[in-house]
Amino acid sequence: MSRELIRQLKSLKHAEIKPSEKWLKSNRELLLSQIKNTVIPKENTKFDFETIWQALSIFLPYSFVHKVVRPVVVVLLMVGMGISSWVVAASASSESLPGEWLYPAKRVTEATQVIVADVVGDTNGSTLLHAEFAKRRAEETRDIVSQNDPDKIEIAAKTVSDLKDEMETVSAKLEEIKAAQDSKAEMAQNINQNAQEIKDVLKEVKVNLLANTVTTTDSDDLSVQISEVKNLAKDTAVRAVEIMVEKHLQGDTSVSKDDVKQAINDQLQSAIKDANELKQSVDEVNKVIGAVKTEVNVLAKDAKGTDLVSTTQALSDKIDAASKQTQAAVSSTQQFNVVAGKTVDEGQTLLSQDNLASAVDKIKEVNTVTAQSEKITDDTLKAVQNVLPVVAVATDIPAVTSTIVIVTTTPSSSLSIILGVSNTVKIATSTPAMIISSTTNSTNTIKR
Amino acid sequence: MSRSKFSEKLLLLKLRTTEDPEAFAKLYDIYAKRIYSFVFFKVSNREEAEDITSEVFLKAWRYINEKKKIESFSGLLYRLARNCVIDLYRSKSKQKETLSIDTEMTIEIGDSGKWKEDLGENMVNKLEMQKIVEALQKMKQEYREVVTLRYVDELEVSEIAEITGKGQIAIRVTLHRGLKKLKELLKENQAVE
Repeated sequence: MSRELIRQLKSLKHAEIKPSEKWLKSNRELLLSQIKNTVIPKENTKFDFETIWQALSIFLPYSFVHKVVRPVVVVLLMVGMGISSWVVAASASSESLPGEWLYPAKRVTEATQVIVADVVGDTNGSTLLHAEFAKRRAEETRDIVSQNDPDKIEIAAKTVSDLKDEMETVSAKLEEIKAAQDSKAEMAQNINQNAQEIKDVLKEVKVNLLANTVTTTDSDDLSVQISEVKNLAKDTAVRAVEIMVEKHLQGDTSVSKDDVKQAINDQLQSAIKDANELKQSVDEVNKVIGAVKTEVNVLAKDAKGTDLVSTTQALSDKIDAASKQTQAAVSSTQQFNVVAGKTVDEGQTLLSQDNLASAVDKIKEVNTVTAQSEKITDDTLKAVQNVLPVVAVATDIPAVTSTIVIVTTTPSSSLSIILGVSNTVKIATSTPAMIISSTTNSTNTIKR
Repeated sequence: MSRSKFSEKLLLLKLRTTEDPEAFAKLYDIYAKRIYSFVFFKVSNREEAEDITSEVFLKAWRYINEKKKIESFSGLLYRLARNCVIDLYRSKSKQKETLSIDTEMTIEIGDSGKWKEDLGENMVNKLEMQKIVEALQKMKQEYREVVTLRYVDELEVSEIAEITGKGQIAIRVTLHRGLKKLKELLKENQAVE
């Protein structure tokens, strides 16, 4: 009945009244002339979102476009803009340093990464992230220190403190790797590499810190703090190698035997290199302090009978004391160097015999020796720096005559001395003790 | 989507982006006859139907020019036509001062007396058709309007919803009730005969 009724209703339209063709045509022309008058030529057509929805509604129902597509597109745009702005901020902040306005964004990004890794239960990923972030903190410290800005020492100290926290986390994670049956030696290998890199960066930071023309108590504290974290990185690297060996001996094949041996050998080589550098540093400091001592003695002789006697004598006494300490350090580092060399040789012999565990013990031994040597070197450098707050060796191009520039402040008078040193002191630029700078000033001036 | 609907939407898009009067003229060609018929059934006067049809297209042009939201161009034309017819009835009722003009619902804008004489010669069963027209005339204006828009003018439910300003569900319900009422009226007529 309904279908029949609907059919009958539809047939009703055949009875529609048609307008006359004449009227239709005339009305069309009238309408066109009317609407053409209202059209204003537009120079710049503004972008209109409605056009997009209209275009979409050709293919999709209009209500669907407006009620579903439009809100979805708006949300997607918002999310897209949010993500892109976050990505831009995060990528821009990746180069930022502590104290800069984008730095908090960098740290938030890192924290988010760690949280995500922890939430999804990716322990290995989380560990690698901590190792990576520790490396970043080390690099940030290096960049801040290289700016030679005393105001940023505090920021550098905070960064080193963060680095220490990260290193401690990495160490803890390392123990988890050791305990977990399913953890691979590969993870320990990655941590070892990261820790080695951190150690190298921190070594560079220490050199930069000594090279800074402005030294304060804060920078001394920072140096101590960096040494501490450097040792922590060194210990972490050793521990990582130790775990690599353990995992390897347990049958883990994620790292080959050659890789394990290579890691041990690298650490042994690194230790002997450190010991040599420390010895070289102390030797060079000794040479410089010897040259300064000679010149100050000459200066003291020349100053006899003038009002500079007491000042030059006080300086001479201080340099004498520093010279004695340096000579003692030369002797000690020499001994440590010999011990380190012997231990490394033993380690390499064990390595060649595939006695990996004992070779790792040798790394520990040689690291203990270099740590002692480093302590002595640091103390000596500190003592020398106390006497000569700034030691700058200005090398002329033919390196035949060197000029040692000493700027010191005594309680009684401000003394600025630039000494022309007659004897030749050739200083290697790579050592942390010396700062090489170019100057053409080689005249002797004494300024009161 | 039918081809005519697709071309209608394309023309509308062209109109929106370029404000091309020729695109509007093409839309006029598609809809002028239909709108005229729709209006004529309601006003039963050729001149008035022509005037209203012209007015509808002019208003539609202004509507497009003002960048207002258009869900369906045919829906817009029918809505404008319906409103123009209501306005005409209002003005007529005002002149006669016989009808209240408080609300649109109180104005009967039906097709009284116009179906029979406009049925034409092609009807197979004139008698049957006359019965349906009579039944339609007896129906409430609300039902009649929706039933004729859906089955005589063959508009989509969404278009009818746009024309009447009601929701699609409400239109479906009205359509169902309208058809039911039409059946009852046809049965009653048969019983009387």
